[in-house]
Amino acid sequence: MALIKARSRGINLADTFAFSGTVSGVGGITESDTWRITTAFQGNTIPITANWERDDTYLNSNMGTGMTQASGVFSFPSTGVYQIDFRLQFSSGGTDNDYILGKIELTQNNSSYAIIAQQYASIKNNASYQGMSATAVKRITDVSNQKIYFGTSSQDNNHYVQGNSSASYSYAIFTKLGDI
Amino acid sequence: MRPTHIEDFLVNVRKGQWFGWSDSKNKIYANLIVHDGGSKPTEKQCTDGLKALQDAWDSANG
Repeated sequence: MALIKARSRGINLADTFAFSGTVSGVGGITESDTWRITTAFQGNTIPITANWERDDTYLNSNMGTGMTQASGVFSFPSTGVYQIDFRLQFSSGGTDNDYILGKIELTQNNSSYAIIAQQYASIKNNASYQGMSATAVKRITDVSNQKIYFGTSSQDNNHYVQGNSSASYSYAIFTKLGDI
Repeated sequence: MRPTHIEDFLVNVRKGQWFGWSDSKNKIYANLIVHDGGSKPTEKQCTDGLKALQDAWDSANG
């Protein structure tokens, strides 16, 4: 006979449980999807429409249905609370740039977009590198109309964004934190 | 960092995401694609352009 460890006053968290069935109703991360920019480019680009690929190398940990991407517009696979992490690696483009930025924009009507997160950096014209990271956590309730794109700009419109198809230099991570 | 690939030249040809690769894991000239409908540099322009960048870098960094 199996030992029953549930007690009338609750569960002793010091006990060890070996589940052989399905545990439901406890939530957990069900979606994680990393997309990266494969190819470098220069200058202000809003939105970043081209050269996206899903991380497909070195034990990538994409899980769930995954995002859908078309011309740089990302659609969510299901409703829920999502964390969106966006990171860019910059290099200098011939002048000092007091600001270079990356940003995340969201539409709620599949048409007009608003900035929901952005980060500034600055860079000197000495072949130097810089990075930026922006994060947003949003409640997605309508996957048909609530979508994301990304952009970048700089003071002199001459910064470079680094891209790579083996490692992730400039990329976005979508994580579904839970249902709504 | 010293330029090592024709992508280092292409990124300077014009701004924006005007180019990409039909196979991003194999970035050779034959796989170069143009997104914006503009002109595509010749392979010689790419190799000459890369060499010019390398020469400039070497000159600056001794």
